[in-house]
Amino acid sequence: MMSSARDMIAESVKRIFEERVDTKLQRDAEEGHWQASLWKLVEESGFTRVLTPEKLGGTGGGWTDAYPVMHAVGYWRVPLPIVETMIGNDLLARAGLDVNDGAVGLIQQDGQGSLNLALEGKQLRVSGLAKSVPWGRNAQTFVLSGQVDGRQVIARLNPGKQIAVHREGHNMAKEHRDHIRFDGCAAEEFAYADELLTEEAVKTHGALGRAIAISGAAESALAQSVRYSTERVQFGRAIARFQAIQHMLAVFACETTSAVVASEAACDSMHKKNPRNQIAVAKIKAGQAAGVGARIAHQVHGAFGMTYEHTLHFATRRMWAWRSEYGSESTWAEEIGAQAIRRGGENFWADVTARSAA
Amino acid sequence: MQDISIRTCRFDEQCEALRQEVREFMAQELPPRKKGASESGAVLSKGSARGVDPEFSRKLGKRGWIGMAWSSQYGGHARSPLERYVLTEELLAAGAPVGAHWIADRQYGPLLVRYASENIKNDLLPRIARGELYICVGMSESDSGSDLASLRTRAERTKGGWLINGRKTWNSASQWSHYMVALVRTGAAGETRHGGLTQFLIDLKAPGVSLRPVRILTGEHRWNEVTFDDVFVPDDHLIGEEGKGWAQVTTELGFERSGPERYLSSLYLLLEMLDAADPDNPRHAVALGRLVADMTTIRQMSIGVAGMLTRGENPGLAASVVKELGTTFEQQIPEVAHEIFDMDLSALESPLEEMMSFLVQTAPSFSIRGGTREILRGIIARGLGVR
Ligand SMILES: Cc1cc2nc3c(=O)[nH]c(=O)nc-3n(C[C@H](O)[C@H](O)[C@H](O)COP(=O)(O)OP(=O)(O)OC[C@H]3O[C@@H](n4cnc5c(N)ncnc54)[C@H](O)[C@@H]3O)c2cc1C
Repeated sequence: MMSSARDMIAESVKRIFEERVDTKLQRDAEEGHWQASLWKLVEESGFTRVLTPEKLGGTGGGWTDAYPVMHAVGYWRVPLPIVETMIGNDLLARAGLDVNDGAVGLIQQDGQGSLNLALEGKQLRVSGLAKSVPWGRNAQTFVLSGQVDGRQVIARLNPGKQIAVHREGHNMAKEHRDHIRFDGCAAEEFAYADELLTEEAVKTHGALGRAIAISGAAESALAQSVRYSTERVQFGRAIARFQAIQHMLAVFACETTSAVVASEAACDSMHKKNPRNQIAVAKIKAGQAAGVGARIAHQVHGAFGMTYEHTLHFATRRMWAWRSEYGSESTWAEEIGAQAIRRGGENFWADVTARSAA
Repeated sequence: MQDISIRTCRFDEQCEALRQEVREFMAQELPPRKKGASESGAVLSKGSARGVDPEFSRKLGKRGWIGMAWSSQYGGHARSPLERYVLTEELLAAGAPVGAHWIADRQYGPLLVRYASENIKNDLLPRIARGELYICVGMSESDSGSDLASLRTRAERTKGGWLINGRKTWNSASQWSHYMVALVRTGAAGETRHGGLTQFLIDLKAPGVSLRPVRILTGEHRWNEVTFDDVFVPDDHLIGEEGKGWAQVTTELGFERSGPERYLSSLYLLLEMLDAADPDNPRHAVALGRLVADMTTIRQMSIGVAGMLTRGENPGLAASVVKELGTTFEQQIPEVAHEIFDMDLSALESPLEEMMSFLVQTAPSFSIRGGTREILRGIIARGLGVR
């Protein structure tokens, strides 16, 4: 797709979310209610299938086209599993499996909890407890990445008798995070995907999805903070007049820009050989922007920003929740740090520059 | 709220071919860094554009690697800002001693191309491009740093030109420079405080110019204080327009805030750290992994800004963001080294310790030169609409 397609996607997500996602909807979702009509609109608009090939009913886009949708989920603080469903559908299609309608529950075998995958003849059976599955209770399909006999598999499972919501829960942003129990459930379909995907497909793709959404949420929190600082008056003038406030906002802007650039660069590397390193960089920079940005946003907003009544927290709680999902900054830093140390000083510069070649 | 977004871009084949060419050239010029080998003094200038070597500058000139982006009419090579970017980052990463021609190539060549008379262009630009002629920056004075517009060095009209009186300071590499481009007062400041300032090209050999060395805290002679006592400057050495110096200088600074020199100053320490660290020690891996992430991202942003320049866009605000992040990163590297390694910095027996000791002492200047951190944050805040 051309970049104009990306711009069109960005336009249409903005149009829908700006109009539909208001404080009332966000509060209703936080009380546990599934936003069915918004979800229907999102699916009808094709947002959950941006990464899905055209022959499977998708847009046939790449991650640079997915970026504006995932970014908008953060920017407009949309309480639905849009990022997860886009990723799940992408993994299914790339593994050569069918893509269905409906919300996807993303599961990683090596994540929290213990899942056992076993081959029984031609069937793949899954048992054990998958912890904190995003929007697990709302999922109409589960997509799982894991290992069987040392090979990477992608599997699709449909909710049914052998799958049960073990415990309903949520993350800091009140997004559903449910423990799901699998009781020797046979996968609907599965495929070996060694060639197609990076290792730990759900974790890596999930990390990128979170990095992008954090970038969006951080841009929203920054815009809210800038606006608030020009409206709030103390000592007879807008607090934006104080240099301390100006400098905090400048730092926030720098962190946000870093998160955006790192996430876009990761999207740009997704069709390349090993995108995992760039995803790690994106998740580290976004996680850092989340921490620094949320701190500054709240500092600028004073006590008002600490109330549920105010809307700032819809962005900041997401930033905090998302930075800790699919690997924290230090988890990813340890991985790329150890790798860089093993490569040594003499290879470092060549490795850095290799990443920017067309 | 102004848009700060930076679209990353990638280097095409032409850029990558140039990168290989520069690497091969540098491999012959300077033996590549060897793990664990002590390189004594040479190592200290690496990555920071500090080394000064006119012979090396002339070699680069011969290769067509100075004045790369100006038109060939004036000895340039009409190549893209992205190609210039690749050249610069490769030279810095290899520790090339580019300090002699650095400023003339980076900011005054382009200034002269834009504003100087044909006469001056034909005379000076080809010499700059050959690596023979060096120019230093004459902005700061002892009483005028961040508040540059308060400067007091003056020029007054005289027959056929101007007479300059006053004193500039912190002039890097001026002892090797042939000219200074100085910002001086030629008229009243006016209400904006930015009026009445003009840029002059001053021959540092002219009668009435005197240099006094200023040593930096490591003991090195990096700066001079330059005094002008009735120095005559001919009319055509006024660069640009009389009274428009402020706008010219801000463009000059804005465009040069985001280059690779803004995050490569501490590269050699980072390389030493990677060699000294233990991959199985999580404390080492986490700390270095964060630095790798920072460096990767800042470089992408910096390249993005070069891409904007190539497309003729004005990256003013984005350039300030890159500088703020880049200098913070460069200053962080010696702090991390101090944190994760147990070094007694008195014996300086390894390149790691040598680099460390050097950088700890020079890193504070990264967020002072070219506009202080506080001034940059102010510029970013203005872009956000809160100033
Ligand atoms: C390595 C190096 C090389 C240099 N090379 C050159 C050169 O070649 N030519 C040249 O002309 N100059 C050069 N300079 C000088 C440099 O441009 C000035 O140091 C810089 O502009 C700051 O001025 P100052 O040092 O007088 O600090 P000051 O302006 O006095 O600042 C002191 C402190 O006050 C803060 N401050 C000042 N104003 C404000 C404000 N409005 N709000 C908040 N904080 C403020 C500053 O941020 C800083 O922290 C060089 C400096 C360095 C460190």
